[in-house]
Amino acid sequence: MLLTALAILLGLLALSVPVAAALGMLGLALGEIFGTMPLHLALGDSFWQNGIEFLLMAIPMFILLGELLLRSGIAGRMYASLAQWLSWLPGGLMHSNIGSCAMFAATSGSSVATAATIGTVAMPEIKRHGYNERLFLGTIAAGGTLGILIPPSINLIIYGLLTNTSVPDLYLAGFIPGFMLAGLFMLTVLAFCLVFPKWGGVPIATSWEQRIKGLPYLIPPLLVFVVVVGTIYLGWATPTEAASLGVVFALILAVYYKSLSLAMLREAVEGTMKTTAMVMLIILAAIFLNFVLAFIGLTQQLTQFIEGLGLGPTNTLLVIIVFYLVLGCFMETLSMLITTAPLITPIVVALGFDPVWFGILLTVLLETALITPPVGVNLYVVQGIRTRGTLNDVIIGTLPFVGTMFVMLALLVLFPQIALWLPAAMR
Amino acid sequence: MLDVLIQRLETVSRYAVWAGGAMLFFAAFMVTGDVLVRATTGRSMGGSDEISGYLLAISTSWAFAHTLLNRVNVRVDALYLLFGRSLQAALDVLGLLVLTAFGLAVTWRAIGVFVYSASYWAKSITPMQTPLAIPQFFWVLGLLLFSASLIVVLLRSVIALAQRDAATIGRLAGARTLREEVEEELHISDSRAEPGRGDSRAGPGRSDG
Amino acid sequence: AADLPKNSFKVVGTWGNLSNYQKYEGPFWNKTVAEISKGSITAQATPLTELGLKGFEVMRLLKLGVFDFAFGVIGYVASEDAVFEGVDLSVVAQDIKTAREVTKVYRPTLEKAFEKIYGAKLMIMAPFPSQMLFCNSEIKSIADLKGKKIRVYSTTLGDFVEGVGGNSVTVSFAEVVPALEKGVVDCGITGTMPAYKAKWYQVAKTVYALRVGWGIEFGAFSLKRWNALDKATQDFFTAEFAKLEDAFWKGIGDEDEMGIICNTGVGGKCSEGEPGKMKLVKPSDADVAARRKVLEEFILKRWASRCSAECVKNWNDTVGKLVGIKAGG
Ligand code: NA
Ligand code: NA
Repeated sequence: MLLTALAILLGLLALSVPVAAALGMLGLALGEIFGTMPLHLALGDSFWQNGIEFLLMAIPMFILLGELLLRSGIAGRMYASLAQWLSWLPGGLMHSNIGSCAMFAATSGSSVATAATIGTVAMPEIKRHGYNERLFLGTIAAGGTLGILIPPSINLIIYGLLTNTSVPDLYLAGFIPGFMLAGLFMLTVLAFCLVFPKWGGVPIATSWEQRIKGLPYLIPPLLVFVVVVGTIYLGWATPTEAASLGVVFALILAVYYKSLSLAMLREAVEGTMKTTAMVMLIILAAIFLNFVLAFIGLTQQLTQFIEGLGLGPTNTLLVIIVFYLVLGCFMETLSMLITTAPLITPIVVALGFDPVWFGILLTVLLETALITPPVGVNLYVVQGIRTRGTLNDVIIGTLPFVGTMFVMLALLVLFPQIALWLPAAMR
Repeated sequence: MLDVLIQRLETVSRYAVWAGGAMLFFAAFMVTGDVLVRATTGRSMGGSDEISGYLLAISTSWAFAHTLLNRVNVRVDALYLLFGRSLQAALDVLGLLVLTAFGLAVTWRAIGVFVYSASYWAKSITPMQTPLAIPQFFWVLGLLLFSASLIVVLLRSVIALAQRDAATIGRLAGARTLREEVEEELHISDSRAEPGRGDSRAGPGRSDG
Repeated sequence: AADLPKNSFKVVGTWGNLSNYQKYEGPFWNKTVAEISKGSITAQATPLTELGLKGFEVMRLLKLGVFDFAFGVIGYVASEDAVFEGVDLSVVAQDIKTAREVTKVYRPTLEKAFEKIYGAKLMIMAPFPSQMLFCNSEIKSIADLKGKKIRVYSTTLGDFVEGVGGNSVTVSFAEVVPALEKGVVDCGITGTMPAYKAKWYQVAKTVYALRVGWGIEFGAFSLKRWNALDKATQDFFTAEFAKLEDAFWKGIGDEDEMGIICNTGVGGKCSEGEPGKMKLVKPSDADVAARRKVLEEFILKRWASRCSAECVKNWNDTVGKLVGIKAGG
């Protein structure tokens, strides 16, 4: 049964069938082959009940928020300001790339939006300052992944929904690992640029006066962060509601910066709806597939298989990590999260691991998947912004940061407190 | 004839997307209002989560057609890119066929859900007591637009396949090139691209394959 | 029952993390029926949590033939007709004995409604641990609920909250615990033991022991499947479900009390682990009088306006007579 399922899925994906259709048809096919009941009849209810799930509202809201921030010029000004502060380091603007990604991540729930936004404002600088192009591209692709680890995060909301884990706890838990990973990325750049000083390019001119002058530009992103994360801890809003607050606040900022127009709104809306509908179709198809898998008993079979390996907690966890790293090479991250989290998390929790901690570990694994070829959405996004050269440049430039991710994974496994300290301290 | 129909569907689907976007903004303002009222007065308007949920379902179903017509649906193209143009065209049609089958199945069952709710005038069990047939009606409308688009685009692609017209298939159902992916991601070229796309529809097809 | 014909059933249960499934629904179908029928009857029961369902859609799926048998909560499936709500209107039954009596006198009504609306054969009715208010501040009496933001999940609970002068808040179910923790809502409503298992004691201070509902659940066959069964098998199920129902009420009644012990750490030893430290507040005589007023003026009045005249009359003749109250004045 498991082999049939895998064969159909890999076959459909290899034939380049749209992911949503592949997941949905797999569900229908397995229901026909192994279900003793007419499972396809449940398709409508499955789509409706999950399509109206308020928690999923966070997806369009965060995408819309990112669109509005990009179009009102806030992202660009933030980047220029951070550049004044970070570019004296060996590696120059590459540190600003990572810093800006981390900061934008604190306003956006999406990694793709983070990489695309920062990439757009950073890309023109490569030539101007003579950086090693590949490594520069790598900082954007990898830095962008921070979007789902540093709160707010669509992935953490969905993980919380699928596994009944507290989203505020997950947000707090993502904070330290998120900024720690940003720090590790910077260390990676530093190490390379100390060994190969030419890669670091020509430092940009700056002065303390300019630095101080630029500081006000960091205020709007900080305010957005306060609105989409702070209101949760103030007891004003739930995590999903907070995303809506962010959209309204971004509109106010756009008015303040005089960039609000009907044309701007129309573009933001078209971009948001396209991405949302595409992602929602995948999510709804994946949820229907989960229903069929649980119904025909495949879920239980898989769980029993992993438990039956009798490897003990640590080895099972390692198997799961390797499983995700391999899967992450071939699968889009949101569909990966939705299809696997409900199956894997109960196993991990039964082994005695903390569900909040595993949520963070899983998010770092998903971040890795975003930058591992051949299917790595952030690689595509960065190459796309660049529009010249080959994808290989981006892949090679990002590889060192994949190594950094492994270090982060190891640290999380060895020192779970990195994730768990803050939620416990805030109790 | 089919090409004209596709153009009409594109126009309709674009309006549907704008309407969906308006629903999102409406939901954002409604939720914000509820949060502010609750935080300051302790009262709740109630039901903003429920209404938002309906708006989410409706706005996404209304945007499905647009994603199809703009070929936004994600495909794994690791192998695809290794193939020649004619094999790619065949895979494009196959992918479209599978998507059509799934889309029609969803629409068919969604109609079932709507008809059931309407026949009992079923209400949500929340304090709002929403008659479910109302949001479900608009939800089904979006799915019908999606289904119509699927059928028309599939028909046109099958005809093109029979005519060995790989360019048209690429234009209707091909995997997106990196350049397009990014235009999408950034919308830098949205305003420019709109008339351009219309032109290329009328012409013999774009040459980005 | 040695020579029953072979039959196999697909069953959907309620929440996989709660006793109703773990101790009764699951074992009954996955083990007991096979043992008693000596392997003639087999079944595969899966909780709705594992299937990724919400619980609102189970009867529709049963009617469509996706399942042979479904367990569900009456309040969750009452979309089609307010008549279903009549068995579990807020604050009607204050003890488990009355709650069970209510299900008995109202059963013929529900049997008819299940058959007519869901094409289903009602086999069993059982409770969840009683639904109470869990608040993050101190509550001394029903009067303290005035002005509180109380998270409700059903129409009748909303009527109760408005009746006591509170504000019914609807935040998404998955977000109740964080909302309670951060003060987005002041109180939430759920069963005593489910509250403990979901660790509400970590975020709430007070259990207000007014029983605002029982979360009455049902088990029902698809009528088509039931009618296709031979008489002997039908009799087998009728007898076995009667036994299950007794065990259910007895067991959940005990668990209801254990739930209070586990949440408060008072009155005994918690069988499920470390107890919480919530304060238990029992309704005073004044609260009992206030309850009746809320019941008459809000809960029953509003429900009567949702239900047909016949439906109301029938309720008055059955449940109303039992508890000594009249709906629709
Ligand atoms: Na983020
Ligand atoms: Na990958």
